[in-house]
Amino acid sequence: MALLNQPVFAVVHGKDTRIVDRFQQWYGNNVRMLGIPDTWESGAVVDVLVRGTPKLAGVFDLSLYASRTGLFEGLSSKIRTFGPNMRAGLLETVRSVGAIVAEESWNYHEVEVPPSLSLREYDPENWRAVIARHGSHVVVKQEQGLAMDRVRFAQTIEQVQYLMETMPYPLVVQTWFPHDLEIAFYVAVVGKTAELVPLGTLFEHKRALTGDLGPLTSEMGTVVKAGLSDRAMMLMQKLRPALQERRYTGLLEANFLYRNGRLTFTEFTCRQSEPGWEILLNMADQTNLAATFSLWLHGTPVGFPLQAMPWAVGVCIAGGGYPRPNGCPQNLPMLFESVPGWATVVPFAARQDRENRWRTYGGRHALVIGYGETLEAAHSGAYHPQVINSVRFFGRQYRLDIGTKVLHFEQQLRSEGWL
Amino acid sequence: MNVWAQAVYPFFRNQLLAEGYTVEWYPGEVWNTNEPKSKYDRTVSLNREVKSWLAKPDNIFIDAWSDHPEINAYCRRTGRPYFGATPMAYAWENDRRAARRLLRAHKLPQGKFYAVDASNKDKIFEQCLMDWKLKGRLYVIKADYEMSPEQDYFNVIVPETFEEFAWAYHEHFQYPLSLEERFTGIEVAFTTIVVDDMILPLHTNFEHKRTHAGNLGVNAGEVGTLIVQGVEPRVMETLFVPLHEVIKRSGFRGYLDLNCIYDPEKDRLTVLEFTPRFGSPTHQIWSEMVERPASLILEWAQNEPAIPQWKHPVAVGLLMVPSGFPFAHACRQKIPCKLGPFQHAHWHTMSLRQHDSWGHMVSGGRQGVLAVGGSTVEEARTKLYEDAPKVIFEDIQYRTDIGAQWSEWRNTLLGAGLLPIEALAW
Repeated sequence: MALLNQPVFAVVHGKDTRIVDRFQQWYGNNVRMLGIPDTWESGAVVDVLVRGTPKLAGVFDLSLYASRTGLFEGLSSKIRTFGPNMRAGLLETVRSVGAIVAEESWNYHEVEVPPSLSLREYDPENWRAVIARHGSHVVVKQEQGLAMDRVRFAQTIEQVQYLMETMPYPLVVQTWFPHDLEIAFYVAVVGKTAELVPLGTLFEHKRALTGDLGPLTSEMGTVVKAGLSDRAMMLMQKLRPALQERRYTGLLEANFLYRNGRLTFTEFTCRQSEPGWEILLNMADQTNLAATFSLWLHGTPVGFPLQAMPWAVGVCIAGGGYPRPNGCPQNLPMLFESVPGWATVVPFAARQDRENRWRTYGGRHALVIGYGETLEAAHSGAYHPQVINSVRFFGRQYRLDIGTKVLHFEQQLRSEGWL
Repeated sequence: MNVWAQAVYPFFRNQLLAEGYTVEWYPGEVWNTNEPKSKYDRTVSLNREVKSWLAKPDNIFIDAWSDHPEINAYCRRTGRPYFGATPMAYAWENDRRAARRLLRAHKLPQGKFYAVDASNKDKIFEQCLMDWKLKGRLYVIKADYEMSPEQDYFNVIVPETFEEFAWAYHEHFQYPLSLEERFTGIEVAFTTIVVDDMILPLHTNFEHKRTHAGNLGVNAGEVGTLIVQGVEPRVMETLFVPLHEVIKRSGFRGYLDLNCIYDPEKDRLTVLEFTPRFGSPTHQIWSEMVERPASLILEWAQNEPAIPQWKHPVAVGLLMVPSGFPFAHACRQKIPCKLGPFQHAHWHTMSLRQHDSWGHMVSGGRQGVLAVGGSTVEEARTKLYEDAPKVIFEDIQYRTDIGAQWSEWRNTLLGAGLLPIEALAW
C-alpha cells in the first residue's frame, strides 16, 4: 500500500469538485490538493507552479478526469500523468479525427462509421449534398468544442438548411437515427502500451425528456452493466495501435448507436462521462479505488474493483427548464432523505450553504442510482418511490423511461454477445 | 356580423372567419383619458368611438378571456351583447380574498386560507408550523403582488416539504401573500356557461398543469387537457346552484369554471379557484367537441341559451413548447418548424410565426395546441399521439401522458358521483 502515500493532483473540471472530494476521502492527508482555475489552459503554468513549490517537486502526479487536455502540454516529464494528452484528446474534441480513428481501427462489417461530411464554409450546394448523402435526419456538430449548443439536430430539409446557414463553421454532419439504442463501451487506457481495463457497458439517454423528446443533453440518465463482454472487449482492443501511437492514457468511451443488430459509431469521449463515471464509482469497492488509481497512474493495468451487483440505473434529477440556459434557478432549497440499501443518491450540481443546507446549483442537481442483479431489479430500484422521491426541490424533473429501451433490447444484445 | 374579438389567439379569429363572420380588432384608443390603473378603476370611461362602434347593431364584443371587464359592464348597462366577466366576476379569479369570501358565504367546500401581509407574517408562520407539526398540513403560497417577468412562474409555490414552504415564505416572496391549504387527489374542473340568468352545464375537464410527464417540472398553468362532455347534476346542485343568485347579480355572461380537487381517501371535494373565462388551451380543445363553436359563443353573447351540438363526447389536447418553457429567456427561438400533415388532429397556432424564408418559426413559449376529439378517451389519445410527432422543431417539448390516468380517474369520480354516468362508455 505504499502507493497510497503518493500524492495525487486532481484537475477539477469547471465547478465540479466531486473528484477532489473523493481523492481527499481516499488519500486523506497524504494528498496535496491544488485547485486549477478554469482559465488555465496550459500545463506549463502547472509546471512552473510545481517547480516553484519545493515541497511538491519530485512527488507530484497529475490525474486528469476532465476534458482539459491542454494542461498536459508543457509538463515536466518527471510528472506522472493519467489522462489524455492534447493529441490524444483530439479523438473527442475534433470530431473528424475520431471518425478517422474509428474507420481505421474497425472494418465495415464490425462497425459502421457513417460518412461524416466536414463543411468548411457555407455553400448552397453543400446542404443539398448533405440531404443526398444523409437524408434529412442529421446531427450537425461544430468541428470543435463540447458545449451543448454546438451539437444540433434536424429532421427536415428546411431545418438542415437553417443550421447550415446559422451555425459557425467548420461543421461536421452525421446521420442521426432518433429511435436507436445508444450503447457505449467504457475502458481505462493504462500505461505506455495502452493496456485496456474494462469498466462498463453504458447505455446513455441523451435527450432531455421522457419519450426521447427535447434537446440533446450530456446525459439525463444512464444504465450501466459492469464490465465488457468478450466481443465488446475485442472490438475495443482494435483501437490499441491508434491509442499507443498517440500515447493515450486515461478514460475512454466509444459511443455507438445500435440498430438492426449493427453498431454505428458516433463519437469518442476521452474523459469522465457523467453520470456514467459517477455510477461506476458507486458500483466499485470503495476501499480499493485509491490503490487502483495509483496503480493506473504508475502504468499497471489492474482491474477496476467492481462489486457484486452487475447492473445499475442512474436517473438525473434536474431543474424544471434543464438543459436550457436560464431554465434552472439556483439557490432553491433541496432536501435529501435517506434511501434504502439498494440505492444511492449523489448530490450532483448541488452545494451546501453556510448553514449546511443543500441548495440547487445548476442543471442536474442530483443523481439517483439503483443497483440490481438484473436490469429489471436495478430499474425498479431507481424508480422506487422511496428512492426517486428522496430528492426534493421545487420544479424537479427527470425522465420516466431510463432503461426501458435497454430492457426491450436486452435479450437481443445478449444473444449477439454485446452483454 | 362584425366581431371585436378581444385578447384571443388567432384560432378564434379563424373560427369566426370559417363560420362566415367578419372580425375586427378595434384600432383606436379605448379609454377617454388615461389607461385604467387597475381592472377595478372606475375613474376612466370608454371613449366615444368605442361606444359608437358598440352601438352599431351588427357589432358584437367578445371578451372570451375576460380581459376587459369594464367594457362588458358598459355593454351590460346599455343592453349590448357581450361575452365575458364584469368587474365583480373578474374579482372572483383575480382577488383571492374576494373569492374566499364568496365561497365562505355560500358554504362551498374549501380548505384553510390565510391572507398574509407584513404585519401578521410571523404570527401566521407560527400557525403554519403548528399545522405542519400537528396535522401534517402544508400551504400553497401565491403572490398577491406583481412579480418580475423572470420570476413569473414562481408566483405560485406548491411546496412538498415544510423546508420548501419556509424558504418560499421567508426568502422568495414579499408581501402580500395568500396561503391556501395544499390538497392531494384528482384535480378536476367543472365548467358551465352562464347566460340569460341560467347556468348551463358544459363539460368536465382535467387540466395538466405541470410541464413534464409524470406531473413533474414546474406549474405552467395548463400544458394539456382532457375534456369530457357534461357536468354531473349532483355537482351542479352542490357547487353552482348556491352561487346562482350572486352570479345573477354580477351580470356575468360567459364561461365559468370551478377548479376543484377530489381526495378519494377522505371522500372530499374541495373548491380551489374560479375561472370566469375560457382558459387556454381548454378553449381550443373544447372547440373540437362541438359544431360551429364560434356561432355558439355569439349566440351566448346575445343572451340566448343555445345548447351545443356535440360532435364528440371527449377531446384531448396538447401544448407544444420549446424546451426551457416556462422560464423567461430559456426557450430557444427563431428555429424552423414543420407542421403536419395531420391525419386526425387539428393545430391551433399560438406564438408560432410565419417567416418568409423558413416557413413557420418558433417564437416565444407556447407555440400552439394540437387537439382532437373522439368517442372514447383511448381513441382520442391514440389519434393525438399519432399526430404529435408531425409537429417538428428542434427542442420540442410536450407531455406524453395527457389523459393517461383517465380510467383511474373515471372509476374514482364515478364512484363519488362526480362524473355523468355516460362516462362509463368513454
